[in-house]
Amino acid sequence: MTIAATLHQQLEAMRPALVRFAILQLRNESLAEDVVQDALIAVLEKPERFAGLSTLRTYVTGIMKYKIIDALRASNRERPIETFDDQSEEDVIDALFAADGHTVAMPRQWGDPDATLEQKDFFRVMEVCLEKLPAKTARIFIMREWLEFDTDEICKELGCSTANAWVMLYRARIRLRECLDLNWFGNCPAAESKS
Amino acid sequence: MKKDFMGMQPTCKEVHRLVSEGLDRKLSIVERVRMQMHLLVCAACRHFDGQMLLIQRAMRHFEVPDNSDMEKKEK
Repeated sequence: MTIAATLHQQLEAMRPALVRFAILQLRNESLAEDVVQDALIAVLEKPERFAGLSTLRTYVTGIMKYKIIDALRASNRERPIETFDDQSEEDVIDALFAADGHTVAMPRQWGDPDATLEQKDFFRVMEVCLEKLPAKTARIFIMREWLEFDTDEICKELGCSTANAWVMLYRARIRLRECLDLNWFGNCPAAESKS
Repeated sequence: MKKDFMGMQPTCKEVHRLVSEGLDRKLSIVERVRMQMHLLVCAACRHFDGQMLLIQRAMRHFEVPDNSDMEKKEK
């Protein structure tokens, strides 16, 4: 098989996962498909760019990130996003604390971050956890932590207050933390002691 | 909603929030001092802080995972 054909095949294999992830941010299937298509074409047009620099996956993810940023900026000018209030989310924070403000349960030590981040399966669990977030919470969190928008920029794009954005991000982190703790870090015996 | 009882120990609830907001905005000096003093003596909040930093790093490094083997199984 030629190098180009191999590359094409590898990219096609990635496509469903890329589209699924793009939907988390864009909330629109056809837009997500377009963005992924653009990213894959960009890779196919300049296959020499990634050689030796990084893995194909790193390269494709990086390109898709910029395509998503472009799509967000373009689409938000046309259709404003509804206000950011996922209802009945307050208890996510309150449930962590007793009346005196102390934590109800001792948060687990997650160990060496480098060792965790080296494991490919960790990111699979992470993706599942991101998919479980309420839609708006996922959007704002991915915008902040993956696309690395600052809060002002997010609020300008989405029309929310900064204080609201901080609370949403805090809730997103708490939910992710619980999901990761249960599905990844919880595999150690200490999890048994959790009542 | 904002209560700054200077000189009083902040609660874990306040420090958890500061840990998260510290990832999104520059905390004031008062907030930073209160948080750091609390982290010195509170293992629960230190663990939480470590968890938040790991999540932040993981997102910065996030690559769309290779699920092709899983998707084949589904077929």
